[in-house]
Amino acid sequence: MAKRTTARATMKKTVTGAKQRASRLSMAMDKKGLEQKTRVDLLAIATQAGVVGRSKMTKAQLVDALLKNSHSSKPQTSTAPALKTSTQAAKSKASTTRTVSRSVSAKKTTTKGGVVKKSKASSKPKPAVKPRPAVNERPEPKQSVESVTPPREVSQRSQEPPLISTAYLMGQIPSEAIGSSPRTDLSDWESLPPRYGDHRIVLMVRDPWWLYTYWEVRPEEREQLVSKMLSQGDPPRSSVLRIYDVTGVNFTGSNANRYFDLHVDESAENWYVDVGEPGRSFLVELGLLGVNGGFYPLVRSNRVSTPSFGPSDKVDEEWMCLEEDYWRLLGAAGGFPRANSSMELQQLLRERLQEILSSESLFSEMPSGRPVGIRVDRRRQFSFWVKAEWILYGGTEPDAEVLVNGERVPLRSDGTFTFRFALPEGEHRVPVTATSSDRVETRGVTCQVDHQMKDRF
Amino acid sequence: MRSEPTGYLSLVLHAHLPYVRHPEHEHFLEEDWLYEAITETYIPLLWVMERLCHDGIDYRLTMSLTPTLISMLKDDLLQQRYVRHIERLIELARLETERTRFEPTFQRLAHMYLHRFERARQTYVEQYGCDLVEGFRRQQDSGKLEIITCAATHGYLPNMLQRASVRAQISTGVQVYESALGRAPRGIWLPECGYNPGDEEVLKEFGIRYFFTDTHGIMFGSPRPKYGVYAPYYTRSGVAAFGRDTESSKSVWSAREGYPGDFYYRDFYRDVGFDLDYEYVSPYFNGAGDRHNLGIKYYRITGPTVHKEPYDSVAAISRAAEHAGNFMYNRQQQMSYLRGLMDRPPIVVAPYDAELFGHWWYEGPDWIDFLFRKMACDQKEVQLITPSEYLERYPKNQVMQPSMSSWGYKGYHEVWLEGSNDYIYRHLHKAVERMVEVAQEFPEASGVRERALNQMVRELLLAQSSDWAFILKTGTHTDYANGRVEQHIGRFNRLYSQVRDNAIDENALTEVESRDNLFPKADYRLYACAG
Repeated sequence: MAKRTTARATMKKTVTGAKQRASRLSMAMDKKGLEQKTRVDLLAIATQAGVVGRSKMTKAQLVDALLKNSHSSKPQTSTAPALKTSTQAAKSKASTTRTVSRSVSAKKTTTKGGVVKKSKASSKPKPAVKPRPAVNERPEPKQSVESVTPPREVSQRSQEPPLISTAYLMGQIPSEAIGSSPRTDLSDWESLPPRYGDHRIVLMVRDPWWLYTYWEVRPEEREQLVSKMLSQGDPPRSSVLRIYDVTGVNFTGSNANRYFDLHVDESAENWYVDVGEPGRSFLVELGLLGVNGGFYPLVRSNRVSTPSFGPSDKVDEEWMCLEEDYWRLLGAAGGFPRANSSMELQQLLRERLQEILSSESLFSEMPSGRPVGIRVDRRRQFSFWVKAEWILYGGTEPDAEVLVNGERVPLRSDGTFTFRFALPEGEHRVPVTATSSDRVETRGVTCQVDHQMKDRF
Repeated sequence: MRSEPTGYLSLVLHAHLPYVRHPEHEHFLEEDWLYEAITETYIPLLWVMERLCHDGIDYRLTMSLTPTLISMLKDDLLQQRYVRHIERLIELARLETERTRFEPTFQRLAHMYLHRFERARQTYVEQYGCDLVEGFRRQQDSGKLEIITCAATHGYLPNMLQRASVRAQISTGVQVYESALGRAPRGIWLPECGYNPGDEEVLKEFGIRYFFTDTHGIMFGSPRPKYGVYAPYYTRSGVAAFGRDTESSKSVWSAREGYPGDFYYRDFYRDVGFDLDYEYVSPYFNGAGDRHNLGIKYYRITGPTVHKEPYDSVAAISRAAEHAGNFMYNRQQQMSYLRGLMDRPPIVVAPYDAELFGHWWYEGPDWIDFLFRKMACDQKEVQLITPSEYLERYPKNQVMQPSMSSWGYKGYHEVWLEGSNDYIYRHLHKAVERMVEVAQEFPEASGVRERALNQMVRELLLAQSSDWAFILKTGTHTDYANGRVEQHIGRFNRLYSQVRDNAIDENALTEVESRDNLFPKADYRLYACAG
């Protein structure tokens, strides 16, 4: 993780907005003031203050909770947290007009990181299962959780989250610490058992043609079976999945419509089975095949049915539907041109129905409707780009007024300031002035830059 | 009662996110999924509805809010963290308005974002007191929005073999809906449109009147459906099934023909999180500090080129209006064609992921806005309707058994059952079996044991989220998805042994409760009848 930098541009102050919000959400809690607010305003304040269970509170309860909240814990401030930087303000003495001129010609090649993967989230595929805590965690210990019973009671709150805070300008994440605090460690609660000691096989449907099965076999059961086979003079040759078609049959073990065998690895614990037949019922047995061809079952599965694929043969007399109309409606649903004769359409659709076996779904263009194909495939692009930004920084008395381009900018508590500009090619100038708080002294510079990018090749 | 049109259109938005809440970490990458969706989709959709309401436009929209999403939107910690998140975005946008001083094109866009984020914050904090569910509830109460529910954690029902498992998912979904929205849900969105014949009996048991299937769920149903997907059908339990119309879906999200790929629309993939100097943007990254999208995007799609032109919001908005007009025109054509095949007005059901609108397709909410206005003011052939209203108007429908299906790739269960994710099912099925076992063994539990049993329900439901299988299949964030399965199954199994051995570690239980704190009314007795 790269170090967080401190260079931050200044913000164009919409002081009023921030001030209004600050006063509206101010934690200077007095009962009367609170009672004059609407419930929605109180809820907003309660959110800032982290009052638990607030969404279900009446107005009066909110007022009480907020008063309690402001008396307990730490004193709250309504402004951005004061940053404990050195108070020795860097005194700026520069006052002459300088002209900076620079031409950038790229020498180093950097490649652009991070082609975005298409995913619900916006990030590089970087797991965050156990992310490191944010870099600028507060060093001082936090109080431990006093968790009582109900799950709604979530950890303690520290301060209210600051309003738009200049803290970020300093490259410091304010220590609002919403949520994370020393907790009971659960890491040894998070694992999947390799097996459950069961003796069973489970069957699932994947689609009209495929089943999925998984199993777990107790070694002692298997050994018993092997000894039985040996005693019967039919030693085991291989493990076998026997798939029974039991459509319309109450299966007893020997009355299936038909069955077929799949040889599976000794070590396998699951298998995909191609039954190739929509609209049928199946179950499977896992067992051992003897050298003499005997089949000795170990476990039998549940019963499943594959869906039929294609139009049903059954027709409801009351809701009669002409064959032709059915295909037209299916065509319409599939987004086919409507001008086709029904025979042609039927042919088209049958072809499409076959396609589903191999690749595209007939109807579902994509899983869950994420747009695709809007991206440029950059896999075989060698990308390279360089851009320039101009960073100006300086300092004065903390109470002075600094104007950049004629607009006032906020200072850090030590009187320093930083701002940056994207730098297109050409000449740019920025006047910067500082005026002392008693309005006696004003100094200024005009920063000027002439920026050019030249192709080297 | 409005006069009978040529046909009806029912737009359905499915709003869902898995439960991503990590109080144990200060900044957690995956929580951004929620914050992005709030900023880019949920709030903009509320803006659209408010504007329509304000202008007296009569519209109908159906929208699911999944129980995990409701739980997150109602959660104090996540509400606070969202406020922090949007405030950081506002701050970054403000820095951007400074940084772009010499680039007026980008400066205008920076101001657009600044304004948008400030407005989002205001809507979130001041208008809805940080509770967006309240916003949707108000829209529902106005009679124009119908909110439907979903399975508790968006569990993929066809891969659940035990009836008790399906019952718990559905009943929790209904219960969360009722406590959040103050009435019973009429409809449900089956997670991923995954339909397994027989599930309608559970829906019936919990008072749900309709659900949706994909096109072939209806077309391959038995007996043959008289009206294709252009009318609902009653299952034998009396619950109605509506089928998805592919044509209207395609025009919105197809890679080839879809609107969102228009060159004037905003490019999702060009984000300042990747485009700007690392040191400048890194303070705004969550998680381990890797680059990720931050939500400020300056370019339009431009074309299949690496070079991108700056975004022009005026041009983009007028494209959205054109596309809305085009969609409406196509529906009119479609309706008049279908009307010729049917002896009553067809209903075209067009479901989409809600996050498509605004998050992926930035102009999507505006498109909806234009579409609804045009439909209300410019024509009479196509009327917007909710499934409930349609059933009230046309209560007589064919009885039919829909076919097993989903709206996933290839139309069945393969997305959630394949090499990357099939390992989870042995654990999920075992957990349900154990849950049923202890529910039957301790029918009258109280105190700490009851707490532990109810927490087991939460862990089991969370482990069943279809999202983990989906993420594993798509291959991004796989460590996170694997980790979540391990966490929930691990916690479940640990609690199971402690309950059995009467040795519950109360500290650890409290910790688990505080981390997986959703569904406060979870009741282990749900599983007592194995079914």
